[in-house]
Amino acid sequence: MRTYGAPEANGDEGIALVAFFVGPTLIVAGWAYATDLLQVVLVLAGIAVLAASVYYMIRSRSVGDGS
Amino acid sequence: MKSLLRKFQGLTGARTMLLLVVVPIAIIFITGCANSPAAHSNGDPSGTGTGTRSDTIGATQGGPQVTTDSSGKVTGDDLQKNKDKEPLAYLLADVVGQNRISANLVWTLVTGFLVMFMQAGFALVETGFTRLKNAGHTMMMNFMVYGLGMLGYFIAGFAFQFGGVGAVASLGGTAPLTGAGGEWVINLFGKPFGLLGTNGFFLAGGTYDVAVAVLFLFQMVFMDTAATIPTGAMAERWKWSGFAVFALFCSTLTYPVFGNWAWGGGWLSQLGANFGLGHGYVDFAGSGVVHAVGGWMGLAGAMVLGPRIGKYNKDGSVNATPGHNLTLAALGTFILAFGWFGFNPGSTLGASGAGLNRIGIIAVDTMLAGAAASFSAMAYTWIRWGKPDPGMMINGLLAGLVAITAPSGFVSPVNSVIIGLIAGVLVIGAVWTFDHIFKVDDPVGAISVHGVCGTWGVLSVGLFADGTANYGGGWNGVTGSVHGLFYGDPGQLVAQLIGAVTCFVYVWGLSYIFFRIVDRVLGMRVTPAVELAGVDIPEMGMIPYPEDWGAPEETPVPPMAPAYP
Repeated sequence: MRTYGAPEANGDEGIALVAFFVGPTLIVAGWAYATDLLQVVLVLAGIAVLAASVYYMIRSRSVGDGS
Repeated sequence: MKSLLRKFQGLTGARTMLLLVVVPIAIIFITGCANSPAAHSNGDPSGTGTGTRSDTIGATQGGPQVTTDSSGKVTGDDLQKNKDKEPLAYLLADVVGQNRISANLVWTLVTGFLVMFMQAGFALVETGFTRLKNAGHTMMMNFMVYGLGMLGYFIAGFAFQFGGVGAVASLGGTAPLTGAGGEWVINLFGKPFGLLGTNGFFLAGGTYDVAVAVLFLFQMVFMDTAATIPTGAMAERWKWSGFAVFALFCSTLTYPVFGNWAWGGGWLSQLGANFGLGHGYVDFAGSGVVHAVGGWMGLAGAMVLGPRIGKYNKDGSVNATPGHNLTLAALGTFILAFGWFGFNPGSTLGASGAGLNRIGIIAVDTMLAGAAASFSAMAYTWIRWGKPDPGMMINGLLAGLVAITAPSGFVSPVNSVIIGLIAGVLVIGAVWTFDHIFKVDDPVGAISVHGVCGTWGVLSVGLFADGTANYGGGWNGVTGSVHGLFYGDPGQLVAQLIGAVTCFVYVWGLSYIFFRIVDRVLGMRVTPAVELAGVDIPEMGMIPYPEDWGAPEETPVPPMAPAYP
């Protein structure tokens, strides 16, 4: 979807940002309040989401600006 | 083929960035949380148990006291001693204690609301000082740093900053934050160095508590003040996505860590107790913790972004880029000055007992320093350039307010005027130096106002603190009042110097690395075409003043069209 007058806008940036919030949230939740297997799962999931956020940042850059 | 190549490049970059960004961040989060007790159960979400008779002890000089011996063992307790003789007074002491804490909670909340309103001031000042074609983008950065920063602070920032703080007596002790092992400590030179708090993530578990919530609200708006400062220094060329990522990083890590060292019981605050340097690093309301942190983050960001197109000529001479609306900037400054009455007097975290009546002097100091700085800025520009410069008068007032923020709790009205007069001239010199010598383009003067004058405020505590303030008999675990160099304690100035240098090295260094990484991964700066056209349409898909818009030919602007067809 193209927005008026905003040729560089793309949803990947939005995905990246959401993931950048969700990743740390999962990690903190796991380490601060979960125990046993749930703790491991939450922290690993958080790290994975954080990694995904970085991937989407890179992807959004290649779609977006040329700076 | 091109698309495949892009994908490949993206994946390769992702692996690299996994090592450079994700792993360090994950380690920091994990380390910070590792010592956290799973969940405290001593919170008071109903508020019925916050404020008891124990909060009357030591609140006033003639009131009930508890005496202890050198080992801390209680040797006398007025309330217990007279319990049988005056049972009604004993019971009423509970009511008095709760009323005292209630007054302090209300005071802290109301002043926190004033500080929150400062966001409006920042938004107007920065927008007024930027050009029309970037007004919407600048306004919305100030708007959204509130929401983005708040979430980051809620997730982890507050816990990192205050998750191991000593008892905040004026709020009833904030017991859920002070649990054992709350502060992550390492030992250096045989002394404990507190680095990071670990209680209070998501305000959950035991920190689901009325007093902790009040402290959170007040400190959250402080963090937001720091986070919104770089949006001015980096205005008119910062990509929105880069800004959004910064807001989370700053509120989660950059700000809270230094805040912990200074206010959360961390190592800077203990320089007095551990090394005999005055009362340790003393920063009453945040010239350093809030303003210098914001200013140095802005400096790092402005350096990574580089100057705006057209700011400098090939020979290095500077072109003026006046903002589009002086009215907005002046109105915003007044709003900020109003909010500062929450910022400084509110930093007592209470108004009842234990020397907290000093809020009157703190408020007057705040007024005087701002007024003195706007005067000295006006006089300086008038004498030097023949006219009183409106932009500098505005920045002068802000510089005075920033400078008095750290010392406001410890200095006299006369000294606050001196601090303000110096700040008003200092900000002009700093703006000129960053512009002409360092070639750092700061559209609104945020680095000079907050970074430089914030540092001046920190140092001025070490010079002008006069020893008359007495907040419960001590500060940072050192008994007695805070004295600066001019009042007999050179050690205090040394502590302030260590704090100021630490602030610059840590905040600027971490921010510079972060912005460099973001620049590589996501991109920090808009394209030259976007910058020339103005970032409002390309970045936001919206303009703030449709009637006044002179659209460049290459940027189609549908008048009043919906942004999302």
